[in-house]
This record gives sequence, C-alpha cells and structure tokens, in this order.
Amino acid sequence: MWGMIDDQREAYEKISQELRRGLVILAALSRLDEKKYGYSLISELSEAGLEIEQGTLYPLLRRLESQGLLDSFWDVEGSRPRRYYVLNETGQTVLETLTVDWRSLVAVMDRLLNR
Amino acid sequence: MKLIERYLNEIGRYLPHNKRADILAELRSVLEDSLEAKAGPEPSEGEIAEVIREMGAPAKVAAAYHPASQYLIGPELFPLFKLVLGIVLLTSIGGQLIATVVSVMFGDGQVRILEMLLGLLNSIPVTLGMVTLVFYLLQRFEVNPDFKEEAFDPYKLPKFEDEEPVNRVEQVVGIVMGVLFFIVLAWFADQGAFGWSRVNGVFENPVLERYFFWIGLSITAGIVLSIILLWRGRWQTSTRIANVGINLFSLVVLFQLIQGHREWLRAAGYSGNFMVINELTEIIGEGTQLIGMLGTQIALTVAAIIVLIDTVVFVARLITRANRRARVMDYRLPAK
Repeated sequence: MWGMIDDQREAYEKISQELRRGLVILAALSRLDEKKYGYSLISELSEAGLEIEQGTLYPLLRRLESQGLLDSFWDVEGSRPRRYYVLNETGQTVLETLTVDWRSLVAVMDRLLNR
Repeated sequence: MKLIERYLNEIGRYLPHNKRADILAELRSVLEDSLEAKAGPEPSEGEIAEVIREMGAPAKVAAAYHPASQYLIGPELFPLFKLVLGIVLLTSIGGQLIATVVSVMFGDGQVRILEMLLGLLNSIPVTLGMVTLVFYLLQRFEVNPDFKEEAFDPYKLPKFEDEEPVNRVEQVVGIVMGVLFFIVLAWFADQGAFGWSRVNGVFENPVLERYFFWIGLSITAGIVLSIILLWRGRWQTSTRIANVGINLFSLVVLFQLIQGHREWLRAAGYSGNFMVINELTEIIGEGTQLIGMLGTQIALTVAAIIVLIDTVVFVARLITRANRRARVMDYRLPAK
C-alpha cells in the first residue's frame, strides 16, 4: 500500500473492500455459535485480527437474521439493554458448508498465487 | 449525551417507520458499549464525538440498514416502471390524438394544431411525474413485484429487419377495398347522389362532390403503392416514406371532408351535439339527406381515427427500426 499514488490507492481500497465483504459474513457466523451482542462480537473479531467497521457489522447481523441464519433477542438484565445474536440450526448448517467452501477456495487461491 | 440523541434522531430520519425504534435502540446500546470500553463510565464530550465519528455519517449508517431507501425506484421495480411508463405515455398521446380528431367533428372551431402539440408537450411531464410518483410510493412501502424471470432463449433475439417482407394479404385487401371504394365513387359521380339502403331514394352530398378529385387521388395513390409493394415483395425506405406521405395526404383530405360535413350540418340546423337523442329523432323525421350527411360524417371520423393510428404506429416502428439498424454491424476485427 505504501508508495501508491492516490489513484492506485483508491483502486486498491475498492478491491480490498470487495474482497472483505463476503469474508466478514463468514467471520461473524464463525463466532456466533454462542450468543453475542454487537460490541462483544466486534471486539472479539478485532482481537483475532479482523477489524470490521461498526457501521458494517451491525446492519449485517440484521440481514443474516432476516435471511434466517441467526436468531436475536433483547436482554435487559445487564447494565444496559443489549441485543444478542446467535446461530440457529439453519445458520449452523450454512456455516459448515461455507467453511468447506472457504477451505477449498484458500487451497485454490494458494495454488494460483504461489505459481 | 445530548450528542448521541441528536445523532440517533438524525439516523432515524432515514429509516423506515416500522424498523426505526428497534434499530435505534440497538445503535444506542452499541454506542454506549463502545464509549464505555474506550472512555470509561464518564466520557467527555470529545470522546463521545469521536465514537460517533467512528460509527459514520447518519445517512450512511441508515443506508446500511435500509439500502432500499437509497433509491427513488429500486432495481427490482425499475423494469416494470419502464414498461408501465411506455404504455401510459403511448396511450395518453394516442388518446389525445383521437380526442383531437373527434373534436374536429363535434368542436366549434378549426383544429388548432399548435395548441394540440403544446397540450401534448405539457402532458408528457405530468404523465411521467404521476407514474414516477406511483412507483416511488410502491418503493416506499416496499411492494415488490415477484417477477418470474423468463428463461433466456437465443432464438428469441431480435431479428435484423433490413429485409422486412411485405404482408401480401394486407396489401391485397388494401387494393380490393380501394377498388370497391372507387366503384362507389364512380356510381356517385354517375348519379350525382348516394343510395340509402334503408330508405328508398338517394341523398345528395355536396361536400363529397366538392372534394371528389382529392378523394380519388388519395385512393389511387394507395392502390399504386400497394401494387408496387406486392411487386417488390419487401419494404424499402422509399416505399416507407411514400406510405407515410399518402397517409398524411389522406388525413388532410379526411379532415377537409369532416370539416365540410360539419359546416353543412350546421347550416342545415343540426347543432352538432351527437348525443341529443331528441334531435336525432327530429333529424330522422326530416329526411334522408340529413341522416346521410350525418352518417357519412361519422364514417369519415372513424376512418380518420384509423388512418391516424395506423400512421402513428407505422412511424413509431420506423423510428425504432432505424435506431436498431443504426447499431447493427459486423462485430469482427478483420483477420490479417
């Protein structure tokens, strides 16, 4: 990224964003076998090395819920009300399939990039 | 904390009503989580601003939750919008053209062509606006059509229309009709009057007599064109232009005839109001000529409407074909 002129950086950022778009979904699903609220998920992913913008992750969780992969509920017991998300059965199955897909993609990409 | 309220309210402006409260409650919760993690339980105004800045501009955050709000008419609705707009524009323009022809018959003045064209021009933005408004509301209330996308079939790709064959049946029918009309006209010229099948006797038609030559000319031109088309077997630019020319000429003749009939009828005391039944019975009492003239006028109006529609359709097809043909080329690079 260093040494790029502005046009190059802009192109790079666009492509990089596209590359991460699908990946973020898989990353989020992978951590939701236990119930989590938005901020705890973003912190966990960040600790693991994946920085996701808040403005991206929260709407994404709702979309996955409306697609039937996640269940959600409000918990008003703690210091403040929090909305929790957790994988449901469909989500589990989809995550397993996507994990297989991901591994084979990584293998293919490794072959392509290490020629 | 006031800053957070202002921020959430601004985001709420862009969110659909039914999801607003829930989304904003969640955003508040995660903003507070984020603040606590970064600044502890007593964050400063600057720290709050920083967390909000990180979250992003209100319109952008809202858009991520509700992408459909970014469209006046979204990609799901757009094809239907285009289709409906085309149909509505065509029918409204066609309807106004027909209304103009009818007004020649029942109206009180000359056809004001300029006024009519201006009216048409005015009506287009209004029509466009109305259709757009309806689709905007559909978009707003998230009414999405569930289109079954048709399977793509290469054989249904548009054909090249360079070689559009002539519809022979259509031309033969045209010639036969033209000749029949000529026979009627010749009979009229011979008798100086028309026979009226129901009532015994004939009625004179001074208007037809006046335009006799022009009527004959327009019918002859039509027959000649049909013969040429049958002979060549396909449409060409010259015959297409001739067809439009003959149609326009026929329209002018028809308009003159309708106008003439109207004047005659008015002079005979008929007010021009077609719908008054009393008047009609009076007319029937009054004699053959009046009924004949009225009948001819109605027939002429119907003919004018048909010729007008035919011309408009023909010209519209001409334009789309010219557009398509302008794009047709052989997309191959010459091999070396």
